[in-house]
Amino acid sequence: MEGEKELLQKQKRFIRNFAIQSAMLLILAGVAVIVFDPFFHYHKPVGSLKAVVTKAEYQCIGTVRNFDYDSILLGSSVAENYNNRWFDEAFGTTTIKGIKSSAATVDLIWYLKEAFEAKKDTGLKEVYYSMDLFALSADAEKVFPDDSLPLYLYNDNPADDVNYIWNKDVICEHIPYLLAMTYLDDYDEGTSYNWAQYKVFSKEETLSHYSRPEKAVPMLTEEDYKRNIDKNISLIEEVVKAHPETTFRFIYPPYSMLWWDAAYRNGETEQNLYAAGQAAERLLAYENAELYYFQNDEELITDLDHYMDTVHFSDEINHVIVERMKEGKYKLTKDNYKQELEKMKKLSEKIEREYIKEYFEDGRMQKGKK
Amino acid sequence: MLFNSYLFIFLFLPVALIGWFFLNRIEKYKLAQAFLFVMSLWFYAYFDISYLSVILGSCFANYLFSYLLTKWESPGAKKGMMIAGCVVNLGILGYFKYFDFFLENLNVLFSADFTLKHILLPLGISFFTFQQLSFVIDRCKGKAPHYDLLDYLNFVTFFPQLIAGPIVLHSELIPQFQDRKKRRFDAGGFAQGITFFVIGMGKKVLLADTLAKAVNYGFGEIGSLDSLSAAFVALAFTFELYFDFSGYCDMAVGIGKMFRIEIPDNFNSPYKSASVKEFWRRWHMTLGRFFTTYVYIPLGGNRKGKLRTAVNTMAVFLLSGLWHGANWTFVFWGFLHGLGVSVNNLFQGRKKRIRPDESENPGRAVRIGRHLAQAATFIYVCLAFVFFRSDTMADGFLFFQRLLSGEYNGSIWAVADAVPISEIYIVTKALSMKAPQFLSAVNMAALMTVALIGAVALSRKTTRKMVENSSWSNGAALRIAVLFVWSVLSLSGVSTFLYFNF
Repeated sequence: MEGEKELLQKQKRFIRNFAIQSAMLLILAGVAVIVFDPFFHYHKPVGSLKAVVTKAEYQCIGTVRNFDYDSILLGSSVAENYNNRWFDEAFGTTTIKGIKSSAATVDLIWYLKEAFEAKKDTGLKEVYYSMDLFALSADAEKVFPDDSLPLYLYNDNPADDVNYIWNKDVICEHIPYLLAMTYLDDYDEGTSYNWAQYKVFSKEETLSHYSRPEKAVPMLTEEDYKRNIDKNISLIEEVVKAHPETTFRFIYPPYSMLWWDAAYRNGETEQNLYAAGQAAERLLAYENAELYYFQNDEELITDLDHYMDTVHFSDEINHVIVERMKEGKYKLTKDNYKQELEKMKKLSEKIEREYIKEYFEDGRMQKGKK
Repeated sequence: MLFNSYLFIFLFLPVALIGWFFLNRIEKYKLAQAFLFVMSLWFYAYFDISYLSVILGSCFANYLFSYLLTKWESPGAKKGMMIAGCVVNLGILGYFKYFDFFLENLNVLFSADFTLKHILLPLGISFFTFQQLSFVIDRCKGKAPHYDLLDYLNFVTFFPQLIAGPIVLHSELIPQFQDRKKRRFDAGGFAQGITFFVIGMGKKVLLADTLAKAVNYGFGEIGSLDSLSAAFVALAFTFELYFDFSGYCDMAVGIGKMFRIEIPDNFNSPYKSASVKEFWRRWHMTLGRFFTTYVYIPLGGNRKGKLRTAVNTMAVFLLSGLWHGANWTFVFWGFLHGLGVSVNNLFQGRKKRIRPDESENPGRAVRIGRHLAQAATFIYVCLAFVFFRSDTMADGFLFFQRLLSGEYNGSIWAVADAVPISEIYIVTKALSMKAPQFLSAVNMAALMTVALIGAVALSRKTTRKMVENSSWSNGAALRIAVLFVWSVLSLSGVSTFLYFNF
């Protein structure tokens, strides 16, 4: 009987100790995450910590909501290699990125609206918008954010923050990484989400990523794409119209000639030209919108050494783009946009007629070219 | 809802426990049972609310059978009711689990083109169907009374055992719900429950889920494996499956103990078995018990000669394979085990059985013999699991082809690289920047350490023995608290978004 009582006392003490110790460890873990906050869910970097930003899906929303900035750069992975400081120096802004890999227009507009909401007192000075043509053709009615993302960082429900504050990867990886990049590395805060340093940009690399469609199919007709593209442009137009105090600079990124070749063979050239043209026509109607068109730079897009695959170019090109924007070059106007798009159409034909033959004959890769 | 989720641990379970003990303390016993039933439905419906109609329909249909048996007691009526019970239960299971499989096979056999229905499989249907089937059969045989409705509903839906077993018998669970002495909080049971639960969660979250990354990589890239990597992946899956399933069962037993409800063990160190037959006395024991009681013995068991015994054995294992999933890979896995047990049966009569728990000091030769038999059984079980894990029979055979190829192509390093372990992130990240040539070696060492921890855990005592022998000291509380927090922190991770198209 005495033994049983003693055992029961021990078990009661066990439960109490277990509860207290577990609670203390969990509180410790939670406090560490809240203080260091590597995804910037609660606040901007504290003290001397740098804004180490490498994981768009986890960090982008936190930076948009909690950082000090007056301008935002929106785009897909094509825009990730810009250094924010290039824009700041060119246009006198403090810029952060609103990035989403494979972003649809809906995604970017969602981030943009979040930015306007976060800066509702001061407004935004500039919006740099990397205008991917595929984004203009993406589903204009998709839901964002969806459950492929860590929604606990996006919603306003504090209860599901447990997924963040009690997260082994955050504690073992992202906090140490934040500290290491701050104190052991010369991390440049302007290079948020940059990946160029991990990739090789060369003709060989680019060709190795290109799987050419076997046959050219008939071009899609306006009926196939007009409605959706128009809707996407309306989403952008709505924001431009609602914020006349903000300057919107839309950048058409220069995809490689292989991208245009694939578009041709998939019957999408007309669709892409329609998207670019409609966006220009409708956005140029606003005084606070400027458009920069780099897609028909023949020398650039036919030199595959600038690329790592059909779409992604080196950060040197990103830098050149900002420089040219600063100089006011490559600008579309109401007067020239149709000629520029016609030039792109002709270039697309020339790619099929001439440039692509250097690498492919009858749909097959030329030997020794890869 | 999963046991290994924040919602379950920090909200559902505390609410369920507090509600249960509070209502019982104020002597609202029926209300407490109704509360537990509602909580179990919440637990179940959290996956998909449409599942509720299936489980409730199944519960009420079986309860109706039981009720009708109180009215119709003639042998003919009982026999008819047993047939009806089997048809209804197996019909529900067959429709939800096997209908598409059946159509696929018809399409292949007759070059037909039946459209698959892509029926959503209600979770745990295999478990609660068997549980109720055993009840209806026992009712028809006069081995079970007609229970109070709430007792019955709690027996079927009691959330710790609802979606992944163990397959509990009415005679084990319902008397415990009826015993009002068990309705008071008990610190002893609660301490044991915590320990069971945390050990189970550690097995599942820390070991099984880590090994799963290597296994998923291996079975996703079968063609790239060589003999060494295939052997490792097969071994890793054998470990993963055990830690996953037995971890879940430990958690179930632990939660049961917190409620003062004893749930039977499902595993008893199965990989220490010295024969396939012994393996099935130690692996998924409640399933084995079900098939023995309700299929093997009614078929005649081992009482009708060697040939009939072999046929009965094979029938049970083919059914057992099919129960695990609607795929020929599971049936073939069942066949391999049926074959193993039949061979064991054949040899059993010729030599003295080596018992697992021989208490008298066995001779050296016997011990060596047993160890060799254990090794052979483990290898056989491990190889058979290849089909259990493969998506198709072709994948299973391709895996064996790679395993037996005798080739070495270094793919074991790729397997190790596919298992990021965040606990050593600082080391791997530093190496990737400063000395990338050593990165794979560190990844390999980490994966082997996990596998070694798994092997050591397998060689140790069962969770039950560990709990029973606990000193309940401050150190024990700290160890369990650290394991608990480590597991909780592992419930959530940060994914790498690999798409890089635009």
